[in-house]
Amino acid sequence: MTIATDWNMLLVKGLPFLTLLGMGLLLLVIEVLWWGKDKTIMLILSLLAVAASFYFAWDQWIQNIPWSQQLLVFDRLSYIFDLIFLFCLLITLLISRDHIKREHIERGEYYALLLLATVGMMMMAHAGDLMVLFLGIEVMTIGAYILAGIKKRHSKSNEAALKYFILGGIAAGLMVFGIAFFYGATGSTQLSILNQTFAEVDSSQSVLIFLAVALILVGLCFKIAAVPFHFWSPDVYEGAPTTVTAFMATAIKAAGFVALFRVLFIVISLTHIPWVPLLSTLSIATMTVGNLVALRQTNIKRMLAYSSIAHAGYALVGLAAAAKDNQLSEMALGAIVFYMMAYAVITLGAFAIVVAMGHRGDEAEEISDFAGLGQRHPLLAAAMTVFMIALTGIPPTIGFIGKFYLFASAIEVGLYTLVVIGVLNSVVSAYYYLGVVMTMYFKEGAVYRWPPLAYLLTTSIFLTLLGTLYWGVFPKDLFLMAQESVRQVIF
Amino acid sequence: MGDPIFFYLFATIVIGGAIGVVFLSNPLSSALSLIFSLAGLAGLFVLLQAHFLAAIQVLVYAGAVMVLFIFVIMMLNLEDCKKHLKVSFASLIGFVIALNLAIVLVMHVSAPLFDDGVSDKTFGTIEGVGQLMLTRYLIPFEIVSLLLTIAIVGAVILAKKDNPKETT
Repeated sequence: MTIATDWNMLLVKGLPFLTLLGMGLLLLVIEVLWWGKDKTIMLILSLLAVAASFYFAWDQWIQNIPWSQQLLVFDRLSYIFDLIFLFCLLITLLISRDHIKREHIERGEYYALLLLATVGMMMMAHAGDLMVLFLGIEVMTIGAYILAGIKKRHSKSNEAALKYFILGGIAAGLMVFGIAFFYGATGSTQLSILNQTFAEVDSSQSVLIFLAVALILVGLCFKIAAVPFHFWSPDVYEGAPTTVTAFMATAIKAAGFVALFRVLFIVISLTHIPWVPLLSTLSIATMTVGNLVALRQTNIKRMLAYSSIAHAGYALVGLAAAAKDNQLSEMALGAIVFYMMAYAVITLGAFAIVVAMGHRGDEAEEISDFAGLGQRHPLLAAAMTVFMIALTGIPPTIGFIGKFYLFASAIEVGLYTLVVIGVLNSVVSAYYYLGVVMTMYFKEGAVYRWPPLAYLLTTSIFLTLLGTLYWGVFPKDLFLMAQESVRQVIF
Repeated sequence: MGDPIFFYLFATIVIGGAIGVVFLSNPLSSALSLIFSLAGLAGLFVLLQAHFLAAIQVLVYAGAVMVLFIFVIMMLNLEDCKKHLKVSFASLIGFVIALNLAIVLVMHVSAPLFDDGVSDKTFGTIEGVGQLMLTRYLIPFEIVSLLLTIAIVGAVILAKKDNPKETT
């Protein structure tokens, strides 16, 4: 069976990832041929590629002509996630330069791998076939394994890479096993065909399908670090270079969710799987464990790691709400997309400040290192306060709006218990988020002259701060965009 | 499908090899019997008309991967490990899950939902696989090449000796 592919169409539609792919490969070549020691050119080229790719994705989002090539699909959902990934990549690139210089990991491959890992994520967002989905995940995670371990002289970085690699390998194995079961049961891995098959054939008796769904869900839950598949994330987040952690905590999480969407659109129609109880349980476990363990963390990166687990739990509240009545509801999905954007903006800002705190040989990763920041650098402390407030979910920040929409969509379908638990969890989280704020303003810290902040770092903090506050006050446009994105999903 | 006698022959090799992996005490003998098991699997693939898969099975698993295994075993210089049959909680759970899986596989796997049937004569042959890979599955094929590029670059970065001037 062959399919006629309109290659020109594919070229135009695929420009967002093709640009990044081309630039990623070009950077690998430049790294070999470039004679100078200064790698600024790499950063500039990467930023150019991100800008071009952003423009193409934005253009396609506006045009809104859904098109499916069977293996790749191009709809607003995939483009909005392209935009989210690109935003994460942009901020990561901006905060990278000074950090990787002082960590002595400045090399062209660093930029190339970031770009190519993002291509993998985009493959996940555009996947119309489980094979493409799996390969996208692998491209993304193999890039992430390497980036996590790129500080090869640091045992923590080594540990992070190895742990991530082994556990990620197991998750990938389970997932490919699940995909094989799908193929065994239905004779196809293509999402549109699977969708048709489930509509026509009663699959409630099929153990294979049940196993396939379970295994694939486990693989994806690993990527979004949902409890009980979260054990890797604190160690990996702590050991990886801070900029890479920022990228992992935001872009990879969003990628995990879009992959989850793509799979759930298909399997949600399987009535014999109790979706709402399943996703609710997952959500409650993830929120609660994430928040409770975060209370005891003294390292800011570990704290943010557990916080990212907790935030995945909040987003799963939306997914449980969306899964009601065996079809994914638009409102709840839109709320999750919005939440992914909100979470990415805030978390990138928080990580940018963690990067800004560090100096050569002193990465300032403990929460106690923030002591006295309020006197030493009032602006930085004020920005951190905003991000912490936003992560807690207090208005007027985007964090509040995101949680509001999520919980509202859950109330709409009557999942009151889940919402109550979610709100209680937010209250618990206030303790450790505001703990950072308290440390900054009310604890005496070492007094030393603060070196001027790097230009790019300031830009990224400013951008994320602006996003957090602006969209916190005027969320309408962004929310409508998120809603529009899930309206017309194709397979 | 060929003569069933070949199926039984290869199946015996596969299972015998697998049992050998678990019960032989010398790690090297374990590895060698794993090769038998994998080679037997390649035979089964041939019987299923999956010639390409059979060739890959021999080249990649019985060849490359096993050579790596044996290198590692020799480098580590492992001694015979005595295998105790201890009943721990974990092994009990493992046993139950394995039993469950076996029951599920035996009872249910015979009935696919949607019988695609392998009507196409070239399905699974080298010709068929090659054609699919470069037409219908061209995009995944290209993504795989990207994946390999990233993996190679990563392996080089992580394994290369740094220029001493550049490191701290």
